[in-house]
Amino acid sequence: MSIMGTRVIRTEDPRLLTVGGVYVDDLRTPGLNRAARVTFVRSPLAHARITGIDASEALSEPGVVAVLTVADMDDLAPSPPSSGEWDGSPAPLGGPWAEPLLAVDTVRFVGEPLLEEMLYDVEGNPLTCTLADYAVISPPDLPSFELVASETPTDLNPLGAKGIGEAGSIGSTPAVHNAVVDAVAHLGVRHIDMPATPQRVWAAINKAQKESE
Amino acid sequence: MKVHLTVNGKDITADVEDRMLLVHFLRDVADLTATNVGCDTTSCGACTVLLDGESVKSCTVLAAQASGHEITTLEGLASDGTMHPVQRAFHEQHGLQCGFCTPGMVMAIVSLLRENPHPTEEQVRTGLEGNLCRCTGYHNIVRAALAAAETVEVPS
Repeated sequence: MSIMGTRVIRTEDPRLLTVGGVYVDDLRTPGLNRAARVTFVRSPLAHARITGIDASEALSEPGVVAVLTVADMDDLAPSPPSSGEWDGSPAPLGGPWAEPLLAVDTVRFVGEPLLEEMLYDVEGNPLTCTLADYAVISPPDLPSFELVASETPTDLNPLGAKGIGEAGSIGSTPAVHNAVVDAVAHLGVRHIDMPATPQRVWAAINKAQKESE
Repeated sequence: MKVHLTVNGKDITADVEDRMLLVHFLRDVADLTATNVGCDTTSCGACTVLLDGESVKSCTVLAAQASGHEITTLEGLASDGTMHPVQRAFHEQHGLQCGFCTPGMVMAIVSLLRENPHPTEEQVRTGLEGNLCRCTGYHNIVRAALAAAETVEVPS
C-alpha cells in the first residue's frame, strides 16, 4: 500500500463542518469576561531598523496592563545557525531552535508571483492593507490541478528535499513565474519582477520593445 | 432598538444597538460562533450566512436589516446529527484544512447550488469569487461543490 493517492479522511472535520472551530474570538468562558485583551502592534514603517522601543506612552494610557516586546521574552530557544557561521555540514533535524515569533517574508505561494504585494508610498505608509487591495488569489484565478510526482532529490540536505511543506521554498512560485515570463519571451522579455501584475507585464513588454528598436 | 430574527428556526428577540452588524448579532447575541469574522471589509466571505435562503456576507448587513427575516448559519445545516450533503462532500473531498473559511464556503455553496443545482467547474469558481481561502488553493473546495451537486436532489 502506498500513501500516495490514498485518501485519508480527517477525523477533526465533522466538528469544523457543523459547529465550526474554536478560534480565540470564539472563546466564551465566564473567566474571560474581564480578561485583558492582547493587541499586536505592527511597525508603521517599511524596511526600518529597530533601535529601541519606547513603550512608556502606551503604558500611561488607562487600562493598559502591559506592553511586551521581544526583549521581554527571555526563554526563547536559540535561532538556527545563520549561514555566516554554518560550516557546511547538514543541519541536524529537530534541534531546539526557535522559529522567529513573527513571520517575515515567508508566506510565498502561487499568489505571490501574480498578485500579492505589500506596497508602500514614499513616506512608508502601507497602501495594501485590506484583503480588497492586497489581491489575495480567489477561486476563478486558479485552474484545476493535476498531481504529478516528479522526483529529483537534491544532495544539498539529508532528506533530498527541495520543497518543505508550507515554507517559502516550494515549487509553485517559480513555476508560475517562469510560465508568465515564457509566455512573453517571444516579445523579447527575459525578466519581470514579482508579482507579475498586469502593469508590470505591460511595462516589461514595452521595455523589451524599446530596447529592440 | 428591538429586533426579531429567526435563526436556524429559533425565534430570537433582542434589544441591540442600531449599528450592530448581523455577524455580531449571531456571534454575541445568538451565541453561534461558527460564523467567523475574517476581514470586516466584505472581502473574504468567512461570515457568509443565508438570509431567507440567499447568501449574504453578514459583516455587511445590519442586524436591524435582518429583523423579521430568517437566517441560517452553519450550525443550522445539519439535521438530527446528519450532515448536509455539502458538509459531507467537504469532509469526503478534503475541502478544508484550518476550517476558518469553511463556514462561509459551505453556506456560499449551499446558496450556489440552490440557484444552479448542476454548475460547471467554472461556474463554481465564479460563484465562489467572494470567498477567500488561504490553505487549500480552492482545488478541493471546488471538487466538494461539484461532488455535492451530484448528490443533492433538491438542495435545502
